[in-house]
Amino acid sequence: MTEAWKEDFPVAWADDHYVTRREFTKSLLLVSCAAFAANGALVAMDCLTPKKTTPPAPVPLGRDGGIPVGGWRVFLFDGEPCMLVRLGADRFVAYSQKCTHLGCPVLYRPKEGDLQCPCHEGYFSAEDGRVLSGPPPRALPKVELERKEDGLWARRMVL
Amino acid sequence: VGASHGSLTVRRERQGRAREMTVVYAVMVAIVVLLILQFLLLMIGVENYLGGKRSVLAPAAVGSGFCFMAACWLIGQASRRRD
Repeated sequence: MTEAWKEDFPVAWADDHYVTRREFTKSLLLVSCAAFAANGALVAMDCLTPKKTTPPAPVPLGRDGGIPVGGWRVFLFDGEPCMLVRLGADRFVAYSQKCTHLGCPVLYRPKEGDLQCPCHEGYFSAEDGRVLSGPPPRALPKVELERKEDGLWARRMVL
Repeated sequence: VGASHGSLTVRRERQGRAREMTVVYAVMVAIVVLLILQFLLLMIGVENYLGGKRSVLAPAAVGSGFCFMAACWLIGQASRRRD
């Protein structure tokens, strides 16, 4: 005959921490539900975010961008920090300064001729903004430039 | 005769239980695969949301929903077999 205290505690201490298959499967289902909810939350956030209907106003960048050959500077376009790089006497390129990996500011390296994200060693081509190496998943968004009589203008951002 | 009949019954029970366990493990593996698929969809969704490509979000959510429903159905089937 078993003692009374054993009947009151029928589950052994070690077995109490043992996860059954049923509990494990339930937890998998819970994680699956959470993943679905997260995906749904993204759609909801997208629906709730007001869409920009008017294109951003062009930004004047000066006659020669205000920088020497091989130089670069930061300017604001549509509230976003962007970088203007002067590759040659009459060759300008502009990109968003936010790295496509985790949003760190990207810097131009004139000697190497590339754009570097110092946070996680991501490198982009200064010619077209494509990823050269490192963790960034996409090219840098490009800012379209237009040369007018009164100088250089940033027109729009191309993702 | 009675003893051999009893051992046969036990063997059949064991075989049936082994089959049940195979089904249960198959269901668990399928759910894990579905879960991995859901994480991939979530990664794609977040990546495209941050990248400004919003057209991918709804299909990713629908796909994730299908995975979730499939996981629920699988668990339902496994529970029904067990009960």
